[in-house]
Amino acid sequence: MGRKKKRILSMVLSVLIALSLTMCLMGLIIRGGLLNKGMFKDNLVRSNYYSSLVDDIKDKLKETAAVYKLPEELIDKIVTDSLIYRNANDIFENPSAYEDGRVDTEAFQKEAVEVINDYLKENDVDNYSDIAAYVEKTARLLAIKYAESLDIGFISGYSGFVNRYTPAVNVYICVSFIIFAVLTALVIMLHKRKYRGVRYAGYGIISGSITTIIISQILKFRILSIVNNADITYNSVVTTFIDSTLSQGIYVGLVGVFVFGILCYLTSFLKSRSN
Amino acid sequence: MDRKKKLFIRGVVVTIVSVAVGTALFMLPHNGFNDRFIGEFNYSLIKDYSYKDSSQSGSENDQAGNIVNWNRPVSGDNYGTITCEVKGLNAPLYYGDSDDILLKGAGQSELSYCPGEGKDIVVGGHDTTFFAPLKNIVKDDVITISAKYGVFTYKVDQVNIIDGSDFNIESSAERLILYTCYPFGENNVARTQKAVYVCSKLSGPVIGGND
Repeated sequence: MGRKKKRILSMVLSVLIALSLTMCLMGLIIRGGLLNKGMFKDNLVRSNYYSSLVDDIKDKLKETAAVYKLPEELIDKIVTDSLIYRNANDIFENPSAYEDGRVDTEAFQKEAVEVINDYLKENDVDNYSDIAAYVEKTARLLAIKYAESLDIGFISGYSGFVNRYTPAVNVYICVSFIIFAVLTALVIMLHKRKYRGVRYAGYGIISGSITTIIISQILKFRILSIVNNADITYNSVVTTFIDSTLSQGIYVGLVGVFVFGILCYLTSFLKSRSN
Repeated sequence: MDRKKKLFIRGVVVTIVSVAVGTALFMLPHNGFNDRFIGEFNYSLIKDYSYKDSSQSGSENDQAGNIVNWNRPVSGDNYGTITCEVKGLNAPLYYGDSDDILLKGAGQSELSYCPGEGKDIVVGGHDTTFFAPLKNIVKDDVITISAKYGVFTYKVDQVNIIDGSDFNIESSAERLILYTCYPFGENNVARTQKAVYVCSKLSGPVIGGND
């Protein structure tokens, strides 16, 4: 093959390496960020979303408790951050079971029965014949109110989305990585003096890294511009999540720039050896 | 030109071409990623569209309940929600139906009229996200538009599948016309058909003030 033809082919291969690397890196960023339930969960905890729900739920349950002549302090004992966290976790793990927005109140009911029984014992109310039925009924009613007030149905929507897209994105990452590896091998094999091939691979890597940084930031601003939730606390959780996950695109791209630096060094090393 | 300079220029050319091609491919308006992934991601994270404060509408009602001092929303305004709770439809309603708006919710064509104006209201949405529940909606279902200036209900009279988007929007009475791509959910094939839901007004105030 003529030198000019080889050069043009190498440049075309460099562009294709850049595109396949961009696809692969974007897949990794999306897989490790937007499709990362763990990061979304952490955001909910770190931004105190569950704590903000607790007060609201307690207020509503205290009204119900008052109807059943139960002191408000009992509700404080039953409804905790960890109880809401457990409910949220159930939805994260098995979103299809909670698609209609319902909440598993078994843990709540169990806790409520224990707390109410303890309270009745402390107050020597144990001679009441239907006490077990009363406690169970009260716990059930409180549980219904709890389920109505617990506003975490959105988790099933997000988890369902993650479960739906994760396998496809995994395949996408694998395929684009294979294409990237094959093209890189091709461009290196194309040249008798390997440092020339490494140089063109380096062009592809630096271009792919820069493209990844640009696209990830465009994607970030695009998604942030359309996210719009009425609940300010929740909206802040979502925007922080999107911002932090897609900002990773910058770091991933910078790793590519670093790899390019290593390849430049490798090129000059191979060149000096071939001379 | 010395060799080093040539190599540098070659590297810059490859980088510029790659970045331009990559970014252009990503920015293509109707690629599957933009339409489907971003739309569904946004949809999956939306929690609540309900307007809890209708006092910001700027409109007033007269003694007969009709709306006076009403101002038409401007393009891109999220001026209400469109719901059919029993069938799971719950989408924010925007004025305008550009690609960007349809990623955020349902979009009302600016060529049509607003609820309460007494003429046809044409609202579109993506069948994979906000208007996915339309596939469950049948004749006689009730659809509610909760606008900032009032609540309007409509009953589904007809469900039609048409070719293209050339539907008749000339009517003497107020109708709500919902449309989305058909067949539902088949985003990976080219679709020319639309599912169109024609609904008649059941209740809601009438805009009778200055426009």
